[in-house]
Amino acid sequence: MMKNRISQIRSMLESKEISCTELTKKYLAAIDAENNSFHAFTTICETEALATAAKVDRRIAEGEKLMPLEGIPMSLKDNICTKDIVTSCCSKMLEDFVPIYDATVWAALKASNAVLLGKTNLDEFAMGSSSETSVCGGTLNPYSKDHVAGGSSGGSACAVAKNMSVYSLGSDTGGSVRQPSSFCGVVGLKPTFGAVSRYGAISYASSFDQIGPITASVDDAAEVFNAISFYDEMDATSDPKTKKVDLTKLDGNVRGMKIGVIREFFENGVKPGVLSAVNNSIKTLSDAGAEIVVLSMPDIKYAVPVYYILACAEASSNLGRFDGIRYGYKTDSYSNINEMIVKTRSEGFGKEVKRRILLGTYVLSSGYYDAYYKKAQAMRAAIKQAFSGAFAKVDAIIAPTVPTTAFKNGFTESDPIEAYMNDICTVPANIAGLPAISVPCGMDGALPVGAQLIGNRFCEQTILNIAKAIEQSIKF
Amino acid sequence: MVTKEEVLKIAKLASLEIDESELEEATAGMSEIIEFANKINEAAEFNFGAEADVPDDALVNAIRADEVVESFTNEEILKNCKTARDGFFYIAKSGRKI
Repeated sequence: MMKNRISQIRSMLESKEISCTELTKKYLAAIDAENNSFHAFTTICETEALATAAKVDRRIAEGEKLMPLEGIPMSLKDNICTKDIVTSCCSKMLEDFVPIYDATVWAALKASNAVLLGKTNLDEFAMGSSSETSVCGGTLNPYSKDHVAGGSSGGSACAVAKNMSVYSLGSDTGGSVRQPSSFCGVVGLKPTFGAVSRYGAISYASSFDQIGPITASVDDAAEVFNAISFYDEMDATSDPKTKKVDLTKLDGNVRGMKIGVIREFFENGVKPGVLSAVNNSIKTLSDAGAEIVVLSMPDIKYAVPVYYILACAEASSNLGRFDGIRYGYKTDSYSNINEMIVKTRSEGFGKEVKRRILLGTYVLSSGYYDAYYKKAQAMRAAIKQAFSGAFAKVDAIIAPTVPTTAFKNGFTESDPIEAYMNDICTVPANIAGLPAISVPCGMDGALPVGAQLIGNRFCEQTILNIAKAIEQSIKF
Repeated sequence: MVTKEEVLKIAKLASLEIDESELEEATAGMSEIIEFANKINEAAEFNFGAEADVPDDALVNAIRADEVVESFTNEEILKNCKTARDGFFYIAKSGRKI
């Protein structure tokens, strides 16, 4: 399988080696062949994809220059709004919801004739780490059908790994782009909070959510990031400070860079195979001239409950909008309006979503607010400060993306709290709003391992460059 | 430890229904997750390793100008409403399965 798919496909289209219609048909055929076994896609947009492909072919025939990502077959996680195409969040609550507008990221890609193959599977409302809470059924791991693709953007990661999609956009609230990318052996980038518009991404936790690319290579991730990263007045947390990546300087040269290793990310609970793959990457970077600096964040394990308290508090408020009145599922058996709302929500949401709404409501309720929500906010500020301190000393931080390889099917349902703790390496970047990338760094038996690089705000260039050095060093 | 009464109170605040048959399991589940959240109360002080005092460049909300612009049509706004009537969201006082 080719690594840098985007640039190669672009040159194939430009040289007329393949037409966009032929290319799109190849991808649709791949989906047709694989999707029934892996459940990566929930909606397939064959008609729309072929119509866009025909438009691209006409432009090529007329000698027009291709726009960035024009004609490249791709997919979107099914919590990203697509006008006139069902956006279900893989929930009974939104199973027939047809948005009346496009998310900003999709509007930008659509304007450059990106070919949307379909919408990808996710944990219901992006709440989960296995894709198994999806009402469509879980996405299976491309390397082993006994294991999950991860989540919540499991469908996107599997689609890219099985080459059913050149690239995909996922969303990352506590690791939902990086963790499935790690489990499926692909690259996943969570941009700096504010770098990519959240307008039209169905909200889970608004101060954490960030849309990011899942791709086959670091170069592809950089190209997609550049296409979706810009200031958007439709998102009040969009930040004009966002910087595009200079693709010409993405060479994997790490000489002279200072790369931090936070000791606690390498301690308890990290699987030996994961540890050895990530340690090999650290050695590679050191051999290539980077200086490795050991750092310590003694209480970083508390980042996990801090994340769940704050994210669930935001979720309990965000999901208050689902009342059966304006959109979404509505119960048809009730005796008064209040009962209609309660029954609609109770029948429309799945178990994990309800669990998180209840936790969020609890930590915000009178008598518990100070002990949980307020304290977690103070800890969030302390964690941010700790990372600011770390970035005064180092250019980036390396860690495992996940302490384990892909879970066995059914694991998260059997022990949800244990599954939460597995987010230890990914949630800190969301808490502090930092960019982070997962890049394949080896195998543990039959399953892929991802190394994670966390950077300072708006330093996507730095972490992509280090990820590229790791990518170049391994045969994957 | 959370009591059944607390679970029912929280469920009511969240507009969710927990019936008698689910209450036992929901209470156990809530207790487990709150015990987990309670980890942040294990110590009065935390050490995240912050050493440098770095100015916070926290995000500020970027609010766009409050101007009247062309927006969605009435038809679009009602597109996903199950029971729109006469250009309005309409909810019957009660509903029964036919």
